[in-house]
Amino acid sequence: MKILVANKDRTDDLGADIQKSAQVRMRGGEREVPAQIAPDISALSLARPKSEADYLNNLIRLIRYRDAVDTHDFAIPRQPGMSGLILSRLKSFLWKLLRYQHNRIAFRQNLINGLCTSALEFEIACRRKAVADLDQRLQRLESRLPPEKPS
Amino acid sequence: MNTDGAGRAIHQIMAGYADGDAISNEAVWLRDIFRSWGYTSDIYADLAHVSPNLRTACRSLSDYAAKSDDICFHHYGITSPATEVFLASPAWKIMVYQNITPAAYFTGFDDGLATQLREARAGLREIAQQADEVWAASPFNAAELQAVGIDNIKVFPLLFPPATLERTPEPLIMKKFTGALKSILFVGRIVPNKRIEDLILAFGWYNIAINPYSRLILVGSHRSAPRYYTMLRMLAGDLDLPNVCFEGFASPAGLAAYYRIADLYVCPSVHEGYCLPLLEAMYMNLPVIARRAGAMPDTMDGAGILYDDLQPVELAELMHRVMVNPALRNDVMRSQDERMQRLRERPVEAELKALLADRLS
Repeated sequence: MKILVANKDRTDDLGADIQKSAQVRMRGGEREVPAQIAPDISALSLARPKSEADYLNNLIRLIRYRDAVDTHDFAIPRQPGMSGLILSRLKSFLWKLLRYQHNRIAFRQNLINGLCTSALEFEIACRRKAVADLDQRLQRLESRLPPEKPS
Repeated sequence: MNTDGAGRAIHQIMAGYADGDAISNEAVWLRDIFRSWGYTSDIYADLAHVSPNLRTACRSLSDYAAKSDDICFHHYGITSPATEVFLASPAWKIMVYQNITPAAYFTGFDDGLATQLREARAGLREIAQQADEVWAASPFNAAELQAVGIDNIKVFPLLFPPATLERTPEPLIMKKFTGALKSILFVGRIVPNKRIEDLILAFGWYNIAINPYSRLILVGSHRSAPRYYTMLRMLAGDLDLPNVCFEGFASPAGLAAYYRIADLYVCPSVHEGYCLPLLEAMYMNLPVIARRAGAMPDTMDGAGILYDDLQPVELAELMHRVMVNPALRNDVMRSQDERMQRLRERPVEAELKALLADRLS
């Protein structure tokens, strides 16, 4: 770690203090912590692709994990004070009230998303097979050609 | 009117010419200076890479013609037909190295662009050797040239034209971002060397664990690396961060609005040839945090905050401190004001005259 503030090295004081606070934050407590996603299915697994084809393969794989609308509850932020309490209670109530309709819509949307992902996977598989067939045909045709004369 | 250059020309040749682009803005500024000195001066660019609204502001590469006592600048950052025109010019040739992003950052995101960047870097030494003079936009760029065996490099830092930020801010954007949310801003093309994923991860901690009333505003075109942009959007979804706002390319009035809305500017990039948005943010009185990488320490020049090797949660904590700790913020803002003062006092014309002394006499 290195922190320079206005050209002064503040790693030892500000940096150490930040490290300490960061450790407390990572333990959680009064607030949540960001979702931890397994590295092999995280979006960051797309970060260092070997080639465009490698990227595409990985992207399609990751889309399969993400083609559904998440219907889990989520934390509703609450501002301090009485108005914050009333507003957050109202939002929670509305969420509960609309939940049934929301889930019905999400069910239909997820069905469409899932079908689209499947269609995408089928299309890519077909394209790969077509390219592989063409490759084989080309190799067969090339093997029938007379050898090139040295120039 | 000054008539020092009667009959002579100082032209500039560029791979492209775009609205809001830092190098294009510099070229316009230089052209105006050369014209005020009495020289004929135009900008020549590959029209295929010129913004449609700017086609009349520059000339086609095919129109370029020069005499041996003219001067020709070429802003070099990628292989393009402009480089061939530059090398064939009979004028005194000055290559201005604006930096080439290492190709490895684009592998897999855009293999075609990666190949172009690889070729540009492979040709860097040869092109620099064929030029009569080599200038660099930062000491970092000069060091890159020295590493490939080029000597006698003159450093002419990229020009910062504050007038572009003094436009009336775009009202639609000002209206869109109302509400008392802390706004963290990044401005720059959405490309892999900017490491925007690090900023999204840090914002995830800031938004979820520190201040849910916050937003991250990412301003910049994603057309250079759409696959990288897709990854970033997926990451924002994974972390359940609806307050990550991908705003795309901004007009100068739009840019002025984003800088006014923001509370903090953060640049996590790992490779920059100069990074003008750092100065733009300072000019707009935003505290600036940048990674200690590439040319950014040169550009910051002792102002703002530079960091290295911070975990996302630590960067989030640093962002929080800068926004809530008055003593820390004052130290940052004072250093940035001093940096702006040095920039305002920069004698651009005198610098140029000194660098071109041998050719102008």
